[in-house]
Amino acid sequence: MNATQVSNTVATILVSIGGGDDAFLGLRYAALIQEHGCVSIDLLYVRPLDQGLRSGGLEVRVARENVIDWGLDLPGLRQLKKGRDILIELGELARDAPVTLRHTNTSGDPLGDYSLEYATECGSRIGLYLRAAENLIAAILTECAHREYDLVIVGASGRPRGPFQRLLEGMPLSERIAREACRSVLVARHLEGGLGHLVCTDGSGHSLAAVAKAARLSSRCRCPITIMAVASSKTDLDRARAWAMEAEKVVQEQAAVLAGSVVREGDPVEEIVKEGRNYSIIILAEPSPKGIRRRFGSEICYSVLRKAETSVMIIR
Amino acid sequence: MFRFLREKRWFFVALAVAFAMLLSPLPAGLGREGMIVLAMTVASTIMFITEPVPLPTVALLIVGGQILLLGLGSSNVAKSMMNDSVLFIMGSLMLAVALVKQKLDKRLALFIVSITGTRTVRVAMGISMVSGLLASLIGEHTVAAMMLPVAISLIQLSGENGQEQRNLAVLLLFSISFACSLAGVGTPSGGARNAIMIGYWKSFFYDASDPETYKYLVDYPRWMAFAYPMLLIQLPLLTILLSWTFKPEQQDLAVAVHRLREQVAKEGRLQPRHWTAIGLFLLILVGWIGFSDKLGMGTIAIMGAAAFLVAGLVRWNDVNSGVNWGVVLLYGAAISLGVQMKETGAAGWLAENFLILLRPVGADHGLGLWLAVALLTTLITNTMSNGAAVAVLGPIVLKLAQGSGSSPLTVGFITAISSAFAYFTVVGTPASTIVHSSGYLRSSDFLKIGWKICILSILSLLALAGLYWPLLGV
Repeated sequence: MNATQVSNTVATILVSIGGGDDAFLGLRYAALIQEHGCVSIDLLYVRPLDQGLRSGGLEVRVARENVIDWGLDLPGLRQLKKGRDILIELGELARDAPVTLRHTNTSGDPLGDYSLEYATECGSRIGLYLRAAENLIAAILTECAHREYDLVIVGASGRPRGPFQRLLEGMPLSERIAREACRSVLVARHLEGGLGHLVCTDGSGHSLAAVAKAARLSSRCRCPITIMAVASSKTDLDRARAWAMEAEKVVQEQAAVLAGSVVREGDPVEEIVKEGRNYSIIILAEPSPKGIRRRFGSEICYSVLRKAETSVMIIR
Repeated sequence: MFRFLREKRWFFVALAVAFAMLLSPLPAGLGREGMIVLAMTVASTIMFITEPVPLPTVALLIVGGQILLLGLGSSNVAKSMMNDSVLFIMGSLMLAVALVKQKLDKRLALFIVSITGTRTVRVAMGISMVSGLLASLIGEHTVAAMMLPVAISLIQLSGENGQEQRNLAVLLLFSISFACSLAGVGTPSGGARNAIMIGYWKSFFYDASDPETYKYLVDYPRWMAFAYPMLLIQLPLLTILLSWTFKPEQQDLAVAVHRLREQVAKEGRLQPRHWTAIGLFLLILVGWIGFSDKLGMGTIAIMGAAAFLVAGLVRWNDVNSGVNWGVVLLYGAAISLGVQMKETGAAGWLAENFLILLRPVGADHGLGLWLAVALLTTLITNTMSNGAAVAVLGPIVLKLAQGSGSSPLTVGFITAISSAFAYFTVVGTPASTIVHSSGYLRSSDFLKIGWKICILSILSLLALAGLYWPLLGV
């Protein structure tokens, strides 16, 4: 498949807004992909269903109705409009693009669920979706399974959490989505374009398939790829170099821009995190084994996701 | 199945802990019934904090536990769940909905900016003073729901720069939530926890045949005499702390205030229904101040809610959908459990052992004990609702006071007031939950300012307890 053929294939991206400013940086990355191809971008904001028990027995909807009566924007709608305005600013959406609005009630909630869908010139869609759900993770995962997205983008939940913070606060939302989604997930963290993608491989067939997918995605945004392989010891260095060469061939077959390769020796997670600081995104394959074997097997990609200070994409 | 077990794990942990306690040998000084109540309390507390099941379920389990494990009659358990405190909770929630529906908040906004002018810090102070004064009378959730659009309006009218809005947003929204939380202790009607503590004093210590116990009948003015200085001290300092921690980038809100005035001017004069609502509210207030000791605060709250419904100022549908009735069930069950803690001796046993722990560090009496109670209550209230915290802790701390020779009034006030110190989390207080729903605040914002206000609150409380309350005869 050459670059033009890749670009002409409509892809769909879901951007989950609500995780802070990083999600909007992720949206800009999605717009970069759209710039070189015809991509449908859906913005999703999921707000928790209000629980009157937490507000002392007075349902939060009473406060929300009061805010609506003032004619003010509520969260969710405000965030989605900000995302829409970013796309207009970047030229990916016309200000007067035709729009379809749908609203459904959710358990009598005055805000309910909203969807606004804009049509783009190339035939793709820019969608703004506001959902209310008791379980945020389940709602996001349901949404991403519903429309078979090629990529899900979420903002990282603040700085990487240390072990004590994780014990107190649990797994960040972005990491849970990355683990449980059935699609490739980009966790955006201080995402700056222009630094290229670091695509990691361990030489397995599964990993090389992920490299191919990463290359197709990178070619959409014309982002250069650097291949990285890590040998666990000096004796494995030659094998790691062979993995890197194999992956380079895969990248070239996908007509993506290859910037080179990096081979290191040491702990894979530490080496990837260290090298990854020089790139916009670190890309890894999801672990291959499923179920219990996966839980007890190597989880390099999730360790990198936890520790990296840059954005991480997990390819499925 | 695995997912079910994982989601409900804390429910099973709570049950396992309770069963382990029931199967273990009885400690000295604690009877079988006391152990049962203690086990139920521990299990309930775990479930209150971790919420593995909907919270009203915990209330139902408490009811079932009292009947099945303690052998109490179901009618007796039902009776113990409904007292004046619970009536007050119901009534105040209905009044909250009724008051918010009167749409007096725009006029409040106009009143604030007409006094404060347009300087950002002064507007924030105006918002916090008005929020605090109102919340001390009608409860923090009511005021937070009324004032939320005022703050959001100023934020959104102040400009389009996201960063400037965020700093301003935090300052204005926290001016509402923390003022409401601080002030909710000022009068008995400021919060359900106050009514619960008043109920405990009466049921634990008051004896109509013994004039020495009359002091445990704490009426509205007496509560105000003790607690109102807390908010008078803290409210002015609140704005200083907030503006120091979240320095607003806009020093002046002239544009936003001008736009707000234009918006509010469209409302026109107050209508007869507004005057009726204000009149009813003042009548309720007079009732609470003057007649709550005879009729009960709950009775007045219920009658007030009825008056709003009869006057057609609010619809029953609005009241019904605006009140989470599960809270009433929850508080009723927690109070019922608290009474059993006293009746079975579990509260006394816990208090005794807590004193033994405090003795080595000299915290078993006086200032040390007050600090220990304040810290314990602060810790508990940051993990569960303040009303439930007082309902569960009340019997224990009152027994603690008796055992240490301290005044139950002093220790009870410290508990009730400290239960407002839930500054660290989004769900710590109702006002925090409501302002957080605006979408402008992050969890870390609460931590950033919460510890400062907590220190201020604890120091203010201890100063009042040591220097001022003795002047009131405790």
